[in-house]
Amino acid sequence: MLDRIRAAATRPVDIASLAAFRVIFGTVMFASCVRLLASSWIDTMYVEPSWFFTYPGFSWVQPWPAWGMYLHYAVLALLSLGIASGTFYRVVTPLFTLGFLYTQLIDVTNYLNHHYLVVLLGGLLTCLPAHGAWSIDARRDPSVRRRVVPAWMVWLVRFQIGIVYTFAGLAKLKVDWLLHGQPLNLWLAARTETPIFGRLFLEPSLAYVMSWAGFLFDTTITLWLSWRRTRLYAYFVVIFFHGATGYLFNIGMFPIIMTSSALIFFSPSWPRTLLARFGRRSSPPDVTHEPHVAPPRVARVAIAIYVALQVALPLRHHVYPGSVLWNEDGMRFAWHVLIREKHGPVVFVAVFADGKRLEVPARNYLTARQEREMAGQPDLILQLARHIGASLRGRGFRDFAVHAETAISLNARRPAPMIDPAVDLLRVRDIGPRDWVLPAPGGPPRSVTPVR
Amino acid sequence: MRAPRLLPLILAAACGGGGADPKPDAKPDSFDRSAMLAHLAREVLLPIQARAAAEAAGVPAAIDGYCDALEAGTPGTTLDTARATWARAMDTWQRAEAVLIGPAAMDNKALRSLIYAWPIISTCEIDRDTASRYLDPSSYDISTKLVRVRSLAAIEYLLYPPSESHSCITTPPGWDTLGANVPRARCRLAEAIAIDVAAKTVVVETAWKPDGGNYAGTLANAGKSGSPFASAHEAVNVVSNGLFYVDYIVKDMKIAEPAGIADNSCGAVGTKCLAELELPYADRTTFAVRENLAALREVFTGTTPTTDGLGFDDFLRALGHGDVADQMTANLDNAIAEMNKLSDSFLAALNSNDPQIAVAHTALRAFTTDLKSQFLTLLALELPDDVPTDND
Repeated sequence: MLDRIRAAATRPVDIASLAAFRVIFGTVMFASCVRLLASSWIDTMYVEPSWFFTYPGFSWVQPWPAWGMYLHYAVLALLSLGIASGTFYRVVTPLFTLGFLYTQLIDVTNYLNHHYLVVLLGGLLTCLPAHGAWSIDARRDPSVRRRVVPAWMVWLVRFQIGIVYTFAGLAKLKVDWLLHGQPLNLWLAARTETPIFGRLFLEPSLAYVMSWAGFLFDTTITLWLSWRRTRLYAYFVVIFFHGATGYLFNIGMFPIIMTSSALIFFSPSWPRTLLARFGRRSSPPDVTHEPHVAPPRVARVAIAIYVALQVALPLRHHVYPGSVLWNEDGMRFAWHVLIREKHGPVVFVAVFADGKRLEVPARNYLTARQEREMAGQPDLILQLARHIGASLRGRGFRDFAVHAETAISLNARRPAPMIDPAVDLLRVRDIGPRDWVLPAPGGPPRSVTPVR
Repeated sequence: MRAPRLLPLILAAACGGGGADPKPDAKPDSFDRSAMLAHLAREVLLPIQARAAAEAAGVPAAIDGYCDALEAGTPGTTLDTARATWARAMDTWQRAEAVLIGPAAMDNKALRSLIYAWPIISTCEIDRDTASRYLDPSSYDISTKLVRVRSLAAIEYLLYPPSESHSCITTPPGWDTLGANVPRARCRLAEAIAIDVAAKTVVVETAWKPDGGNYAGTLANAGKSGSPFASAHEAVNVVSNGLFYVDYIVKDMKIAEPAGIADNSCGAVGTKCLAELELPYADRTTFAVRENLAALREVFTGTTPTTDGLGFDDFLRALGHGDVADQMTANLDNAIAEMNKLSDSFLAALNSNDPQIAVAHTALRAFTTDLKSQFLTLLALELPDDVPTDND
């Protein structure tokens, strides 16, 4: 069995789908960067904040000045074109990936699942010879040209896309999502004025139907895309699903990234088949005489670690106590896409040795967007509490604790305290169980009656 | 679950039924966002703008009367009259300010700042203008002045000067030549600013009126053809944004910071910080907050002394959450009651460390907690000042 898998993984396959993936990825990234440059979001994310939430070990990552951030994204756009066209691919792809990673490391509140996916796909492309065909590099340098790649290279990309869908589906395996139709009920109720389809959203049961449809789609689409007999139909479902979610929700480039990435599940020669339909003959390579190529040992170890991480990271929240929707422990890098709605005030209170209290509004340190993102994420609340502590000490205050008084509504439940108000957050260590986060509120979420 | 009922609806929509009247078995359309917007815009917010303009219109004449009397050497009660007229204008503007949306809020609150710029004020620069304008009235052009030396806040300083002296570190040019004419110079500058404020309130009112900019109509017709709003819900979010004035400005800036309840520029903890005080010269913070809360209640409930219609409480009820509407209304009423118990003189309350300030603050926080949590969640609204970026 293992030998058969090894043989299948090392067999040569047409490079066309991998090259097409590179072209599409580069093009979509170019569009993303231009979209960002054309919006005010660079100011919003990197210029307006006076303080940033950092990832552990990456507090040294700071934004460029405003002009630098614009230049950075302009360079990313150019690098994207380099990826798409396969020009100096071995240089531009890692540069793009590192450059994009940098933009994500600046502030945790900018985290988006599809941005994480971009970093992963950029990392994979960095390691794969996707410029072996349909690239400037291949045209310029015959030694770069390839007609085939070992199947495991295509499998790796398929694995990554499959991981996104599968874990996004498993993340929906929750009572709120499946039994109460939340938070879709809340979101659809606000979209009853949507042209043509808005009247549908007046029907409360639609939230349940869409919740289950989303769950079934995400958990099974990889299977349907992997099976040749259902692949084409499944892809039409992919287009419909991502088209609908992109139309209804502000999810940016996510639908385009996923719709284009899912093409990797088609036969490795699918681009040639498509070109042939448009009268461009491009015959697939004869792979019968091509050698099987196994990855070198170092690569095998790296792939094993990568695969294990991609499976372990989304599952890690299961070993943490409490609800991931509430304490968010294990929420990031786990494909928990659009599965909760959280709102509520977070009031930081410095309590001094003499018993006096001083409320410190988060707005004194954060933009409205950062404050909104922080409100639902305990680790960010902890970070700001520490920053407030340092800030107060810098202003001469001594002998105080910093507490957080929170009243957070999860999926329309009544607001409940999320952070233990008795805990001095300056004494909390952000490793191990988050016992400073109170248990999630019990009982079912409330629903709303959609109105026009 | 009622999935089977969905099929006819899907078919109806697929056949272009989106614009048709609801079928008898369709979900009853028990609430209309557009109707709420129309009521709030035309029956609540527009009258507030009209009253603000009407009250502001009376201020220049009242101050002129005081100036004339000063110059005649018979001020009598004209200063009291001018102050009372200014106070009424201030109070009515506090109502407009409490749910600041539309023309006055546009362009980073440009018009609002010309009418009332607090917390931006520079008393030293006002003193400079006082001297320079009195010595050469033709040199003074208010249209070239920054908001920190104009608006109702500047008039407050000029009508309630803390001393006869200036507030600068170095004496402003020409100040020494004013001598005993300082009150007259301040009065005439106040009059010039009041004329400008009155004009600006008319600009705001006109921008709201149907025969002017018709912002009230823009809100009422949100989501319809030609509307700048993509949907009525988007316009509801704009009005909702206005409600949040009570959180950051009223609860935090007007009450908590001067009382040392919240972080402030003085570094005061549990004691007063007068540098943060609104209307410090006239000592009208209590009145301002009361007016803020009264206007907030009118918009939240859609109910004024003269009209009753759809408000956010009705929206919550329509969505099935009358309990939240009742709780928020009760909490707001409690906050209003606690503010009414507070001394009319906020300064006196601060100076005596009156615990009622903290009580009123806590009462208001009960309302804003719901506003920032279940109100936003249940109505599917966004926080104000938030920039809609990508999500996933």
